[in-house]
Amino acid sequence: MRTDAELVNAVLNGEKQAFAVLVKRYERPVRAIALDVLGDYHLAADVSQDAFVKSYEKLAELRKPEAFGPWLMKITRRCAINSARRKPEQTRLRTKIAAAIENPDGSLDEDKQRLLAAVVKLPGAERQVVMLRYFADNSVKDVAKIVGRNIGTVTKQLSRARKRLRKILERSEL
Amino acid sequence: MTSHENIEKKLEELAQSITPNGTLVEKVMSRIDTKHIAELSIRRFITNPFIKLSAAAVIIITTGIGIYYFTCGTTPAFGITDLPELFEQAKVIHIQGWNYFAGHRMPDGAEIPPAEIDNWIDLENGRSRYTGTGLSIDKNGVSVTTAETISDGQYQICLNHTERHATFFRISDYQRMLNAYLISKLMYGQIFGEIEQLQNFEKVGYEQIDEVVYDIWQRDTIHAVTEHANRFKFWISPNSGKLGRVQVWSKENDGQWELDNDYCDIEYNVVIPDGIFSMDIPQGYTSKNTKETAIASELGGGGGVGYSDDQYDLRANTLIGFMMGDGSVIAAWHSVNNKSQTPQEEFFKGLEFGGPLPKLPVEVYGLKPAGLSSDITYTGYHLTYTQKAGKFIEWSLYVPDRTPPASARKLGYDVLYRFNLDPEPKTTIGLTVDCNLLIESAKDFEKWVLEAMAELSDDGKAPADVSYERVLQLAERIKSKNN
Repeated sequence: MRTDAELVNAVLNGEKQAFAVLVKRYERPVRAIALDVLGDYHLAADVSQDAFVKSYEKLAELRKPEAFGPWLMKITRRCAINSARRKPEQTRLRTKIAAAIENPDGSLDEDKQRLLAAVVKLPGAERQVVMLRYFADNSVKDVAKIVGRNIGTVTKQLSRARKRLRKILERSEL
Repeated sequence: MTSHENIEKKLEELAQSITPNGTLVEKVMSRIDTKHIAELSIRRFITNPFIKLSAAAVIIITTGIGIYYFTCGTTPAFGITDLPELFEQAKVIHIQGWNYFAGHRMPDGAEIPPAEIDNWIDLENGRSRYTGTGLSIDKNGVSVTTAETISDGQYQICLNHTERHATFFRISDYQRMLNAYLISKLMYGQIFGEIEQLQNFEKVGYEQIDEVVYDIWQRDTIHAVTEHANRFKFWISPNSGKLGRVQVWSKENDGQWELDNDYCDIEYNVVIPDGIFSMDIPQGYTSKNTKETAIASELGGGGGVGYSDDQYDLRANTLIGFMMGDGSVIAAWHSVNNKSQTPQEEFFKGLEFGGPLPKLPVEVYGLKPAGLSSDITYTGYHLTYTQKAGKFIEWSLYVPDRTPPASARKLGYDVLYRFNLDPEPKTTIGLTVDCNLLIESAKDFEKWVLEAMAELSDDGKAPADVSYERVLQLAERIKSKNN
C-alpha cells in the first residue's frame, strides 16, 4: 500500500491513475464532510466530486504531500460551504440540518448527524485517522502507513478521538 | 453512548450510511482527464519554497543587499508578541469555532449544546460576517439564539436563525467611519482584543494540528468586579507565527476550568467564498423590512446589566468609550428603571460639568482596567448628557487615581456599578466598556467624541459646553486634587 505522500508525488510526476487511488481512499471521508455541512446526500455527492477535482487542480500547491488528507478535507468543507451559500433554499449550515429519516431521501437520522458533526469537529489529525479507520475501512496498520505516522501514534490518536467524541456526544445528548 | 465499543459501533454504523458512490472515481478521473500534468509540474516548481528562496536570493544578490543571509541564516521563532504584527498584515480573516456556554446549564443540570461560530472579516472592503449566540435562561428553561450579522459597509442584515427572520439596518456615516477604524485596527471580533494581552502569557506546551506544530501560550485573568477567572490559550506556530487555535476557558464555582469558546479554525488571507457577504434573505425567512426601509442602526454595541423583581426593573448599558491622551476615559452610558414612574429628566437636573454623576437606577461610578491585576480605579464625574428618542445618555469622565499602564486602552475597562436600591441587590454580571479610540488632539475630539454626542442627540448636535480643553483641564484638576 502506498502512502498519501507517495501517491501525491506519483500524480505530480505524471502517474494520473495514482489519483484514482486517493479518490477511492478518501471517498467516504470527503462525502462525510460534505454531508455534515449540507445535510443532503445528493448535494454532498456533487460536492465530493468538485472537491476531488479542485484538489487535483491545486495539487502542486500542496507543500507537504503527506498532509494530503487534512488538506483535502479543508477543500471539501470550503466547497460544501460554497454550495450551501449558493443554494440556501436547499440547505442550511450544520446547525440547521433538519432531522430526517434514514437514507431513502439521502439524509442521515438525527443520531448519525450528531455523530458526524462530532467527528468533523475533531482536531485535524484525529479526524483524519478516524475517517480513514472507520469510514474508509482501513486497519490501524494501514492508516499508519497512509498518514506516514507510526502505529502507536495512530492508536493514541484514535483513542483520544474516541474519548473526545464521547465528551462531545455526552454534551449534545440532552 | 459512553463506552469505547459503543462509539466504535456507532462510527461503523455511520460509515455504512455513507455509501460509496460506485461511479465517483470514474467521474472524477474523467473530469481531470483534460488537465495536463505538465501544468502541475511547472506550478509545483514555482510554488516550491526552496526554489522561491533561490529565486529571491538571485534577485537580492544582484541588487547587492545581504538580506539573503538574513533570510536563510536565522531560525524563525514566532511567539505571542508577534501576533499583532502578523494580524496587521492580514486582509481577510476567517474564524470558525464553538461557543460552549461554560457555567450555564439546562434546568435539569445538563450541559447546553454548543453553538457554531463562523466569522469573516474583509478588512480592505470593510465587510464582515459575524455569528452571534445569545442565551436566555428563565423559568421555562434555556434557549439559545443563533444569529448572523452581515455587513457590506453601508447596510447590515441581521439573520435570526432561530426564529428565521431577517432585519436590515442602515449604518450612519459616523458608524461607517467608526467601523472602518475599528476593523482597520483589528479590534473588532472575539479574539482581537485578547491577543493584545501579551504580557504574562507563558508557553505551556505544544501540539501538532494538521501537520503543523504549535506552541501553546496561556494566561489567566480575573475580572475586577466579579472576580471571575478566565484562561486564554493561543496555539501559535513558532515557524510561521500562524495562529492555529484560540480557547477561552472559564473557572466555575467548583474550581474546575470549563471550555467556553473554542476557535479551532483560524485562517488569514484566504479566498472569500462566493456569497459570504450576500445580503439576500434566505428562503423560508420572513423579513421585517427591506434595504429601502432599513432601520437606522443605533450607536453603541456595549453590554448591559440589569436587576428585576416584582417592584424593579433596573437596566444599564454602556454605549461607547474613548481614552484621552492623559489616560482618563470618557464613557457614554444609559440607565433606566422600567417599573418607575420617575421621569428620566429628574435625574439630570442640577448636574454640573465636573460634578457628581446622576443618581440613575444603575450608576456606573467607576472603571478598572480589564484583565490586569491592578488596583487602579477610575472615578466618574459628570460631563454632560444627550437625549435621543426618549433615551437619556450620560457622558462621564473617568479619572484614574494613578498612571495606568499603556495596555489599559487595548484591554478595555471593567465597569464598576451599583444598583441605587436599599438594600442593594448582589449580582455577578460583568460589564465592560471598550475604548478603542485614542483622543490625542482637539481634532480627534471633534471627529470622534463630539460627533458621537451629535449622533446620540435628537437634534444631531453635540452639547456646546464640552470641549477638548475643558475636559483635559478637568482631568488635570482632579488628578492634582488626588495627589
